[in-house]
Amino acid sequence: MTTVDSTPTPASSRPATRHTKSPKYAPPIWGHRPGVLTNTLRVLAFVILIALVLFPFLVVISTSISSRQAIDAAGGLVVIPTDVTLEAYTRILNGGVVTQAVLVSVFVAAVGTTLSLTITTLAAYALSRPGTLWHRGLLTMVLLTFLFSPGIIPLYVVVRTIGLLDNLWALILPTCLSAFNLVIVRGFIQNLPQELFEAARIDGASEWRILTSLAIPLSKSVLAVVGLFYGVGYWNAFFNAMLYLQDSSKWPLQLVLRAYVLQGTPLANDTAGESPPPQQAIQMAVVVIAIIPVLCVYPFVQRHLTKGVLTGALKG
Amino acid sequence: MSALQFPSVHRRRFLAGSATALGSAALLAACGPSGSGGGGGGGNGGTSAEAMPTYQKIDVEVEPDLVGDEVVQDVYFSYPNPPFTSVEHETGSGGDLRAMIITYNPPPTPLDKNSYWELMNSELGVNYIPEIVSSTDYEQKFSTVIAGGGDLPDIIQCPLWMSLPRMNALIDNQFEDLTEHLGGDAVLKYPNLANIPAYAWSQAISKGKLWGIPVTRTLFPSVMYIRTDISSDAGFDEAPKGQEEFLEWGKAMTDKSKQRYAFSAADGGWMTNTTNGMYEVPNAWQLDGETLTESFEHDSYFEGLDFVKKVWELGYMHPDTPGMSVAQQKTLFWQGRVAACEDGIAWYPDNINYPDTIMGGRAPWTKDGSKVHAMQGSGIFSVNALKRGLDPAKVEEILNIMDYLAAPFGSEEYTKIAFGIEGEQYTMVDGSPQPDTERSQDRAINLGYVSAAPQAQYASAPVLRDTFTGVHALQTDIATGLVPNPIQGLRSDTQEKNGQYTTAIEDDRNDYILGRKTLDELKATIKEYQDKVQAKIKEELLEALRERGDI
Repeated sequence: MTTVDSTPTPASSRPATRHTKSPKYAPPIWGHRPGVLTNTLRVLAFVILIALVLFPFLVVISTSISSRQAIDAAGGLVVIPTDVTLEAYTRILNGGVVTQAVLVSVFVAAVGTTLSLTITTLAAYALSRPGTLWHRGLLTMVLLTFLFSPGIIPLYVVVRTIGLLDNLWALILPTCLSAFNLVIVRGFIQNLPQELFEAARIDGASEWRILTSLAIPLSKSVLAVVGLFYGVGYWNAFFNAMLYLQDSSKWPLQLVLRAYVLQGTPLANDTAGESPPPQQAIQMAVVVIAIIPVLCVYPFVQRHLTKGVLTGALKG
Repeated sequence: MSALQFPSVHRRRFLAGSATALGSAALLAACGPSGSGGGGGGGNGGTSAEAMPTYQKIDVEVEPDLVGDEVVQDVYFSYPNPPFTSVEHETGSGGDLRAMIITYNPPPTPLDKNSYWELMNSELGVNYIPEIVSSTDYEQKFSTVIAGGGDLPDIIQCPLWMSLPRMNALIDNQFEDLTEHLGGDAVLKYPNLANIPAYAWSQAISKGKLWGIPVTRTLFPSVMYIRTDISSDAGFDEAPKGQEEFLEWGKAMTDKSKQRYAFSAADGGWMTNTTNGMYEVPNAWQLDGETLTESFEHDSYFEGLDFVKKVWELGYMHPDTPGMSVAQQKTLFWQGRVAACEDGIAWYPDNINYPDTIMGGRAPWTKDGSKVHAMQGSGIFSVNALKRGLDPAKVEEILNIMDYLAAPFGSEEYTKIAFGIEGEQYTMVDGSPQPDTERSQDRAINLGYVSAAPQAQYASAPVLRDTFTGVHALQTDIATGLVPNPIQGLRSDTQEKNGQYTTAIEDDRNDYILGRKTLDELKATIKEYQDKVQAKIKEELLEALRERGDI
């Protein structure tokens, strides 16, 4: 049986803190000034964590710029590149297929995100106002989509019936409104100070004026986050493109890159002459190309992420 | 000795093999319903004579260097010069031609930057619009497009090895009946289509109706490829034949200190073709009179499993085998960390990327090494159907186009289809067309999947000659022991709807080999399948066999 030493520690024997003036005030653990050992361990932990995150990136980039011999020698994945070549990137970016696909993806992501944000904001504002026409019915309809998915074939039939097969709008319209994002934005707007809205109304502002001059400026953080969700969603989407698009020149980047990753068999691999770059290098080059845009956008939206999502979700 | 060769095949054996090559078609005919050439599909196991197109091999002006037959592929060491003309009729008369086809490649260069595509549009006389679907998505897209209704593409590719839904209903209701256009001697109007062997056509006939045009492949199963250089270093002059020799070779090849293992298998394959050959396991099904049995109803199936289990337990197989992908396996093979593995018969030209490596092949010999027992493949990649309701003139036009695309090796048309425009997609080097790898995406419109001639083998560089000679001898060996699947080309609705039993049996088989499950548990899973659906499946397949005239 163990005993607990309940004798209070004299204040003089405690580590020096910023709050030593008041003996009654016990500072929290994070209020202590860390010692050398703690700092060392902390730095070590961060270095390990950063290494764990960066190591896969290093392997991806190193493999993408390695030759067939280097990849074979390394057993498939290269950590430190020895025989550097940009063949894989040249091959992917050659012929205009990827360039064309980037344009398609930028169009779909830009137009889709703008449209989705507009519709989501309008719907969220309307559904956040009590007494809106068919408020409950509309909200129920939106929430039902959480529970029931329409399925692939009914969606295909809808897209075909409205004449959107082989049309880029088929990649935007069927997924234009996300119930999840709508609920987040609605919750955020509901939690804005209602007094502001009432004051605006007293001053004679219309609903449109209230939305554009009050609700939207005050919801920038949540809209930035939801915009990121929509943007990343449109950027990464490939399944609808595979189903609805017939002309491969309309394929978005992700579908093209997926073909490189999953297929990637060079057409001329059974003939003499120059060997094509190895499949692993092509696959890793594809990964690099695919993540660059998201990596570029993320730092600018990151600061809104916690505030936007947590406020909308927890208070909603 | 050149750097590229199959030294496991001796010259004397090769010459003997060549002598038997001419006779392998006859042997094949004796094997079962895959049929031989000749008029009216007489050798096709009783398939409707009216629907079976007459086989007429094209009398090419260029003789192959190694002559094949209906089974063994012709081999050419030099490119025919000048190429001969194989199509004299008109092709298309304008308009669009839509085709939903599979791809294993990235998408093609867009039409406005693709001179190859423009050339083909001009040659085919249509605006060709391929609806390209990657192989990983094909089943999903096929199912959705068919179930979603609406206007189907003019040509719909049906890779029958995939799990395509409602094929019987599709054949009856959605696909054009081509019997009148191609059945019997009618096919002679399209000489390149008449060059397609009967075994391939037999897959495109259902209930006496010819419903599509096959894209042919060889009848050979996957073979065991061997790192002959490693094998020779260990003192083996030839690939192992008999079972004892096989184990002895496996022991010698395995060197864990060098992280080298004798064998590996990818995608749960477990060297099936090799062990099926050793124990003479039936090719999926066996037909005795009017009795149909599945392979696992034979003791030989379990003997084969026990042998693989033994090889695994002896540690001769690479430890990553249970979850190994084909790409991983290939990497390990070229690295020399796996000395032998199974892959398709068309893999060997990959050797050109590894000129310092000597690659050999092993036929699936029986366990005493006295004969070959090989699982015969379907002989096709797909059957390509035409959508129902096309105007008869449009059907004729599409068949003319498909006839053009089936132009044989060495023809002017083949050169255009396979290589494109000289100076753009390829250049001639020492009389041989060398594709420009940077323009390879131009050709990714995949016309070879719309229609194609039986494949010939062309050693595009002198360094490949020994390899191709070895493969020709290997094919000749295997052709002597091809065992057909008696139900090839037939479908059972009950089987299509109950794929979960096959999956469960395969899972238990894997677990048994790995020691996670007992033989009794595997047999219990098989018995459950037998009790619940097998009788119905057999009944449906026997009915289909009767309809086809096989019993």
